[in-house]
Amino acid sequence: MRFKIPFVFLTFALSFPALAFAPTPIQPGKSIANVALGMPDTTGIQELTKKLGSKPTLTGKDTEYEGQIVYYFFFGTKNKENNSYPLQVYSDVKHHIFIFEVNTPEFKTPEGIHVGSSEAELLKAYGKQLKKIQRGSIYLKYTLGGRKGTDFYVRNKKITQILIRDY
Amino acid sequence: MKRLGLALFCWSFLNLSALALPLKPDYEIQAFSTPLQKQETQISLSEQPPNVWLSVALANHQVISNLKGVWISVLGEKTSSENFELSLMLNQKTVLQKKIKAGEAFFLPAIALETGSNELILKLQNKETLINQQKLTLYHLSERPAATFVLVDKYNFALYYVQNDILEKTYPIATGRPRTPTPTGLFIMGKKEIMPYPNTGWGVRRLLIYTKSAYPSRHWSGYALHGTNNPNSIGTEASHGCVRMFNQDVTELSELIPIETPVVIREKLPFYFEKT
Repeated sequence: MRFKIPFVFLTFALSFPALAFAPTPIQPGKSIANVALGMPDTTGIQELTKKLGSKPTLTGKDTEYEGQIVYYFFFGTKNKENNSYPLQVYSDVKHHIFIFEVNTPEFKTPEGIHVGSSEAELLKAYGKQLKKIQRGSIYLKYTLGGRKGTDFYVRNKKITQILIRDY
Repeated sequence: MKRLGLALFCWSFLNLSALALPLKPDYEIQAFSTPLQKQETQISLSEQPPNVWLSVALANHQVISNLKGVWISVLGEKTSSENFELSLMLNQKTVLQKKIKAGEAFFLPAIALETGSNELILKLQNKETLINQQKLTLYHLSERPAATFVLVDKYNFALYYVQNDILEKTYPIATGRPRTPTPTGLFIMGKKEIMPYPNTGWGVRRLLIYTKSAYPSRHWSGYALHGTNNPNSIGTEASHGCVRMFNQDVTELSELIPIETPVVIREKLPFYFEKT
């Protein structure tokens, strides 16, 4: 038991080292780990690889985003529960990054908001700047900014996903 | 179930109080899907009932109902000979004014609704004194394939089960992704299946839907209402076009709905009803 915790930590740290040590900054509507929306995907992914300490585990093209051809770069290990990777980056047909999809608590905004933060913390951090969009009984998101903005998806009063996007 | 529906319907109307002015609690406007007492007089049903169906959002309670089944009565001391004036305003236009006594009931006449949202105000006055006022929001939808049907609202990730014009159930769902959208239109639920391996994407049950033209030949559309092995996807655009439901919900629905129940799938409805 004494060796179990360091072993688990080491396993995680080796698989995704940068994320294990320091929270990575999110600039809402702009960037993640200083890689900005609009940046060419080759440069952006190289930068992210350096900062996160690991290459994308899955890349490809032609996903199902809005019916357009896009390129995707998924970092980390797939979470079977929510069927997503810790960080998913998408670039458009011109290879410019237009979405960072964050599904892990390791990335935080300057206000300390991250996946797993409560809805109350989110509202406290951004207040009236947020626009609430509710669809049905489950789908709830708060949007910050306009076309170039950030979406915070909330389920059971917790943030489950942060989307930094330009579309 | 009919009794339950009627009870729900009456109960919903009884709970109109959120918008009512509490001026004289002895008298209130009520509406029933059938007359409560046989001796009540049917005053006006001169024309054919409207060939529409609508949903009625009543404070926090809801029903979906065919307007033709609605009776209105004024409850109160039946011995009183006081005359009240009942007026109905639809979208700020007076469509009905009627003298009525306590204990009397009448059948709501046909009222032409506009497509979409309609505001109906029922007002009860005694000379100049306002006794009670109720405000209802009515939604006129163009499609009502039968008295019992399934209605899917893609935008709100909601599936409604309407039985005999009364909303019985609301379930949250997942719909198709943008590249593989859930088709809209009228379908027929033609086959129920219990899935042998519930850990697959189909979940525990599958209700196959057919287009109307293909149903006689049982040529399946490829789409279904089914369960899931990924409950986190409910409330999102996640499927390949099918309507995904929680396993317990699809099990319940499959036991509720008969074969050949129409399934109407719409992009967006002008209302959303919380889960019942």
